[in-house]
Amino acid sequence: MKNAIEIRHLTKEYGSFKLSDVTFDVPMGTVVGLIGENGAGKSTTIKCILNLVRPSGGEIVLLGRDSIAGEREAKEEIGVVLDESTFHDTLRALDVGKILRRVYKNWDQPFFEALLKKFGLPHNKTVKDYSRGMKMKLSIAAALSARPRLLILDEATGGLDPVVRDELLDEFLSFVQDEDHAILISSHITSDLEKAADYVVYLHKGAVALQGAKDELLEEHGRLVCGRSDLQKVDPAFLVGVRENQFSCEALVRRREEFIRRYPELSVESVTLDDLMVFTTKGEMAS
Amino acid sequence: MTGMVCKDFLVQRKQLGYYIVFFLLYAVLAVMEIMPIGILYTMTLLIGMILPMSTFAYDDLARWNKYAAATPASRQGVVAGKYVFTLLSVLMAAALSAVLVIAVLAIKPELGAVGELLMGLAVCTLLAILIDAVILPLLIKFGAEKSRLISILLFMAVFGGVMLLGQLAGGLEKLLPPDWLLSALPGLLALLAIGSYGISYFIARGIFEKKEL
Amino acid sequence: MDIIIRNTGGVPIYDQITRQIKGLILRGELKEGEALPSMRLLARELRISVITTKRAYEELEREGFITTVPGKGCFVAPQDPTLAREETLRRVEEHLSRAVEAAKVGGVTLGELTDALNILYGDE
Repeated sequence: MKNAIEIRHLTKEYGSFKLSDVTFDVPMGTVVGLIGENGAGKSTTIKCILNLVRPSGGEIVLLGRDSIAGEREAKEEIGVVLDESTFHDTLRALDVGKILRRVYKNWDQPFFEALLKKFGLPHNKTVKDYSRGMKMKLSIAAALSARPRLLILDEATGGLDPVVRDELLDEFLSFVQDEDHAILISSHITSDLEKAADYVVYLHKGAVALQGAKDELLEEHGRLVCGRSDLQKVDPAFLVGVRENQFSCEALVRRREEFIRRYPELSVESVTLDDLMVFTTKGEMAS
Repeated sequence: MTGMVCKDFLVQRKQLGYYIVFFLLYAVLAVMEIMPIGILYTMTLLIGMILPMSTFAYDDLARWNKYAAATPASRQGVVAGKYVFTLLSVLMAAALSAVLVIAVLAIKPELGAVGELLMGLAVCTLLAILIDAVILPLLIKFGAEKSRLISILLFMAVFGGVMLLGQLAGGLEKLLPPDWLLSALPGLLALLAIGSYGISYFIARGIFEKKEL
Repeated sequence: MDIIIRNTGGVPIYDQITRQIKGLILRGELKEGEALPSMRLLARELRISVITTKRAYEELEREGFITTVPGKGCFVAPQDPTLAREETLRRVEEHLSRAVEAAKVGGVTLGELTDALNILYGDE
């Protein structure tokens, strides 16, 4: 199987908000990062994948099955961590195992207990007394212990300190070592995805503004800092978005190598995913 | 679905413990004739109505339904789980009541006739199922918070109505219908309760299938 | 085997990997027939995308430095001495063109440049 998820022309209308013509794949053996500002449609996309909401149009293939017709079988192989969903306050870590082993066919209790130990999650405390990081770790331990082929994480790292995020990133990278595994992770914290993602899909106002291999996207773009007069010299075809202040201009340029050859006197720096996001939006506002 | 039922029991572990303690307490109070023995089976009614609401409240707090629907249990499993849990809870409460009623009467046979009291218990159990058949789809559609008002009104109406009728008839124990109806009533009520519960399940499934989570 | 990735500096990551592995092979630190770490292991350890390590390995294979045995992995290819020479020459030319550019910009003549080269080489 080549792709864990295939999304074609996904649309969803929600009154004022609209998800339009979203198309992308999550190939096996990769981590795909879904980025975008709050309200861009990341959670909606994930909800459509999991049938938590009904799409207005388009189709989704999940692990080779139609996401609606083959829903149940597909979900046996999907581990999920959703934004804001935690386990009930009165439950303890081992209770989660008791519940989920009756939910997932492939539930691996020894693996779960080993993860609880690794994450330092105490057996005798209830979820009520867990910190936010611990709650996330529990959800992730649960998702991984279903021994899924696909992990879907919706804002699973928000509000966590960098140390915890780093630990979790390690778990995710381990997970995709197996080529028969894949991860779709949505986040507005791009620094996590800068490290871990193979592909990124940037959603902006319900549509795909940018997508591709993360390293390629970052290498093909550059951040130009120069004076206004210099900016006038630049062929607009290179410019993705521009930000001006009183003293200088900042711009995102594409086709970086070509740009450097054309304008060797102008300085171009590396970009981050944040830059891509911010400037792509600005570019749209400028045009 | 079994996972969902298991979850409801585990989440409410403590509460269930408290309810059992209350039951025992009331049994003791009944023996000491401080409380009418009827309290034991009206408790079944109470529990039958409070427990489902309680589980929905806990689920809403943990935003559980979203997660559950994303697991292989799916929407269908979530609804089935609720119905099974509710039914199990009512039946377990009824069983406990029955045991306690018999125990109390063993100690103080003068408090009432076993047959009549167990009949009262059966009526309360079936009433609970009937009420749940009405409440559960509401809870599924509107969630615990919004359904609360409706449920409270319903609860007060039923409980108050039962008490009122009891007063008018001169005591709860006198609420038992005449012999000729005695044989027919349980059967009819059972049919109504079970039938409604079944229909309610399908309605609830339909509601939940369409709900955006 | 050391592979060091620098995030600043603008050199694409796949390029850094390619260059470093080529260097290891040319210097003999990686011997012919020796197995390279899998693309996935490298990606995971360095915390970079597997797409990038794949790209690096594909380029190394294209240039004849490694071969891929399906199911087994990537191995250092038998080194053609002319290939090694070509690679070294290429590297030298790259460095030299930078020196030439700096010279031109700063007004250093060809004569001065050649003198500097002689001195530096002589120090060797």
